[in-house]
Amino acid sequence: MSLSSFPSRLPAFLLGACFCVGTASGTVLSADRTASKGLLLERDITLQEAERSKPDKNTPQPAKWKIILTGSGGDLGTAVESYEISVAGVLQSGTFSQTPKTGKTQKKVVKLPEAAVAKLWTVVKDLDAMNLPDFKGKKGKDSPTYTIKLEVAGKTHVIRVEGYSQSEEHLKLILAIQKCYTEGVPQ
Amino acid sequence: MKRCATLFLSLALVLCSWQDCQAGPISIVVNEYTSSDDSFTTGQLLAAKATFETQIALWTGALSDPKGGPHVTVTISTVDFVSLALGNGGSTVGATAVGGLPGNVTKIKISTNTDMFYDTGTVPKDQKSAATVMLHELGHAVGFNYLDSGDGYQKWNDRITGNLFDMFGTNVTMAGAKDDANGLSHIDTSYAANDLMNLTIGYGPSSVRPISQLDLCMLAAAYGYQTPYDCPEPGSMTLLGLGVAGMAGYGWRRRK
Repeated sequence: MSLSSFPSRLPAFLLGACFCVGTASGTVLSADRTASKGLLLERDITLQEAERSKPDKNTPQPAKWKIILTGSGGDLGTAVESYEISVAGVLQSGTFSQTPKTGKTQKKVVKLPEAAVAKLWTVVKDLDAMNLPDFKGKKGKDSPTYTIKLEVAGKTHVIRVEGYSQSEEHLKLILAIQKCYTEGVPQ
Repeated sequence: MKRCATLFLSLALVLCSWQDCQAGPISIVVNEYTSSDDSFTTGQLLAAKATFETQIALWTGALSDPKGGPHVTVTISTVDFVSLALGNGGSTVGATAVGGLPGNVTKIKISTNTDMFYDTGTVPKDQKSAATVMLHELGHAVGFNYLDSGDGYQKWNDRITGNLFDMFGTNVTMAGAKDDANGLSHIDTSYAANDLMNLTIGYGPSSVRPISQLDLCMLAAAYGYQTPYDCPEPGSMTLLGLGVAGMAGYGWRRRK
């Protein structure tokens, strides 16, 4: 190609160059897309499997169930504190009991609003609490240890938790139980 | 020459036991303040950080470096203002010593829950003072920290037998039985009620607690910190004894 003929062929040259660049970048992009799609597919399968193994989130709340949170140690001192949320048909109650180092156990019973119990049930379902394993975090100072006991549909599950605040799931469940109790009305 | 050195050493020991060897305040450094609680606003975080720094100043104003020892710097990687369970004001995790002295702490968590009082003024009866919880957790960072599973300080353990902390002849009852790392990092209420370093600070106005003379003297006993108080220490009697013995030995050798 002579220099004199170059200007007249410039548009064709540019068009060709654009085509080449487009094809090349298109190849890279499509490779990227394939890779991402592959990853997405794998993740989708994993998610689907996880969803299948979990109970249906829409499962209605059973007529009778109970959850008991017992805490001791840490900055609770040697006192044992327990929150019990009990559902038996229309009877929905919360009991807070505290056993000090010396002296008698003190109890407070509250009547729980349906909405508060429903909120707790949602957390229990979302976390799949009946299959939530024990948790043993780093030992620290002032952090209490907890035991969570669930009784749902004739099945019982106990979760032991050390260093509770280091596990998002366990922390969420503990806070939900306490929150449910605090929304109660003294009887 | 040898006599001269002995005389100098003896005089130094006697003088050092009679007057405090000069040392500066300890340092406490925080690398990061954060909040894992989404509902805790930036404004609240900044205010909480300022409160925490005020508590740091209380400790650094009360504790000075050990006599003749290195400068103590306690580095806290993260202070996290986080939603914790009701009744749990905070926690301190991952304390490791540097040169035997309090050195590094991985994380201090301070509760942002509804039972914590971050405001100024009288603490309501159903809340606990957030500032005191911060001061308490810093107490663990600067030394109240029984070593267990790599978390804590050996020098603290060295002063404990059973559930008693030996403050050079004075036994302080700790809040836990043998091997209870948390209990052995706190003073029992039967020995000192309403102390900052009790297991629990309770609720209401009585949850506001200062650093006590007992707290400082226990830290001085474990780590050799200097405090504004006249704490029992081995230094006084042992160093004076060594100095007097040295002088006597020097005199005896001169007579010979």
